[in-house]
Amino acid sequence: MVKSVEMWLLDAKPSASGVILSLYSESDRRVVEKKLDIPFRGFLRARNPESVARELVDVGLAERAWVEEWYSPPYYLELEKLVVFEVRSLSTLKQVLREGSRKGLEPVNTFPHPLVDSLYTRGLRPMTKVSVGESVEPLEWDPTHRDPELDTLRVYVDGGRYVLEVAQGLEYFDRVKDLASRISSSRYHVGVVSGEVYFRLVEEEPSVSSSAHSWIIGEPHTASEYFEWSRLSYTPLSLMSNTSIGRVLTTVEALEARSRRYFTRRSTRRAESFRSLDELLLYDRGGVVYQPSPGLYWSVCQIDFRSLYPSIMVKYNVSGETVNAPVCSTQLELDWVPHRVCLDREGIVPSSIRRILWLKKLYEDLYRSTGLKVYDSRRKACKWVLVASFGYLGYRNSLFGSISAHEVVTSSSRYVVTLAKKTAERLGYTVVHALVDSVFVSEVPSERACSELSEEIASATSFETKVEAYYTWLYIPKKTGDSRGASNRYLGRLSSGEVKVKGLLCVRRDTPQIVKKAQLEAVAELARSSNQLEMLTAVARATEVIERYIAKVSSGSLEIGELLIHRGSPHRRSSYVRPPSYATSGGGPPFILYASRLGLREHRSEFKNDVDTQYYIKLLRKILGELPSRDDVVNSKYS
Amino acid sequence: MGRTTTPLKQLVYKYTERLEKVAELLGPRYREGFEFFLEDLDETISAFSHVGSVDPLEVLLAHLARKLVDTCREERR
Repeated sequence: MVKSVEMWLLDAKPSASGVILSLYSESDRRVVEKKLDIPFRGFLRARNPESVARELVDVGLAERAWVEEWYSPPYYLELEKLVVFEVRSLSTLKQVLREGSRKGLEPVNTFPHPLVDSLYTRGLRPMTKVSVGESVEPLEWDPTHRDPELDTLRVYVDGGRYVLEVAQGLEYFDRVKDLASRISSSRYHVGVVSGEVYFRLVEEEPSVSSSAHSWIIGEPHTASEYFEWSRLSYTPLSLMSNTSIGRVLTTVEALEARSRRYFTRRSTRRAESFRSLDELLLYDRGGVVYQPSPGLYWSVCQIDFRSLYPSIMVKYNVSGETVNAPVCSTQLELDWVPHRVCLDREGIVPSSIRRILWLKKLYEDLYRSTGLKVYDSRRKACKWVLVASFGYLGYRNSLFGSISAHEVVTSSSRYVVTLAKKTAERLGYTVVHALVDSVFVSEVPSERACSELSEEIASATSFETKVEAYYTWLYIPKKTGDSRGASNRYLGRLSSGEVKVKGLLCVRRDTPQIVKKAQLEAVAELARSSNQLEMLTAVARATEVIERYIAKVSSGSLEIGELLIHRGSPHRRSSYVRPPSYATSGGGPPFILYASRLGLREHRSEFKNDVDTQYYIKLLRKILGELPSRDDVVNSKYS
Repeated sequence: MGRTTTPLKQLVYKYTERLEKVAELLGPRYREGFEFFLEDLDETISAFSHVGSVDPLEVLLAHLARKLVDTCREERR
């Protein structure tokens, strides 16, 4: 008898007959592969399911086939008989489904990937510990458990340079060649890299592809974020490449549906009833977004609703199949939206995200109490899935959404923010800005009053709130080339003396370092002021900082590293637009550029002295417009 | 959003751009009056962000009413 050992399920791949699991042993930091005899399941809709099931086995296409009753979309009210069959290889599964389609049968439950279904059916959650003996058995996963100790690398581009993040810290590279040779000189268990950078690396040094046991090619999130998505959705790392967060969410929802025997069809559409134009204009809108008056505000309390949209979905049971269901015994009618929500059964969407909401809160608490980065990464992973959960509700190809469900969520959010505004005004405050799930209230005398207001709003709305920030002052700049206020850009000094910046040039990824540095220095000057008088002198000092940088650029004493900008592939458009010259002049994305007199130019190893200083001076002048002026301070209402 | 519609504030600004052009043609007296009328329009637009609107003129009408209330109050003082 083989003795069982605990190992991490690192990855899984389909093989000619079954699945090959990559198992990681922490004691010797090695990855071993083990073949497991797991069948793949297929599902077919047929007029005579019993005879189809018999035939599949008789002709030797399937190993086993039987008939099960499943609820049918779009509203999952009726049971339907489906043919369920098992095969030993992915290629056979594809062959049976193809043959079935040709004979007029309809393959259903085609999402998620059959490998995900196989792992889910066996309870084998990737990136968790398993018991390995003659077979591989799942072990219970506790979300407080740590991640496996792996050698990971992450590559991304920042400030015009390639950044390699490994356990020892960050390493910076100007040339892709140097980066490729550095990566290929070591071996890693998992690597995370964007597609654009990966292809440049492999082009430069083909052995890079074998430097990591598993490469995740996609957005450069941290490895821990990918591990969490992998666990949530039973998706092995090999299938995580180019997987969007929406796909992770849909997989979680599809697995929830499968556990209830709800089958899914790609062609499912939940058609809307006829609507008047007025109704569409009133209800098919996003959240509350103010057009704030630009200027400087004092003692501002920012209150956020915690995961407002997902909480609305859970509280009101919002899901594609529950909104306007044709048959329902208990209906919820909301005053603020012309749709009815069925409460007979919990919807697929709310039941899928309920656990993710719980996990996000758990990771927040764990991060606060332990300070371990892994919990923060997992919190972010959950947050992104929750963000996608709303977007996917109204997405036209969504398996579990509908436009009506989407409207219930946005209308409810507007109602909740309206209640928040009324509550603040009832207490004598003024709401100066509102942004979907956030309200900014001015002239709140203290942090304590801010917390009390947050509690009042939570109690009035029955949705959880938190004090996101208490600002000594908050500055809302004007829109570029406009006198109106920008709704998604602001700068504020927190009562702790720290600064919160949103949407300004210094926090944008495509801003040259010199411009970032200038604005951050100017902001640091402003942050030293906590009253109107101090602010007047701080504004003068901040202006001096920018002028000093303008003089530096004008004099031409610049280092190329300060001027670099990075851009990805030019966006695809519906009609042809001539691509920028840098995109057709040799190398591929990501483009590391500087502004030359002939426009944006790719920076190679040599630095030609043809910098367009006016480009950088213009940007430096622009950042002045994002900071408060003397007039803003004088005209502000300070008490 | 499921369908693409022009945001309310953009629709309102299209109206106000035309109003400003008309005011310029009517002479300085009216120009000042129109400028006064359009002051704080952003605040009225923000309020409509809560309830929605089927016509941008609704917003301008509500704003006109708001300005009348403000003016009457000032007069009374």
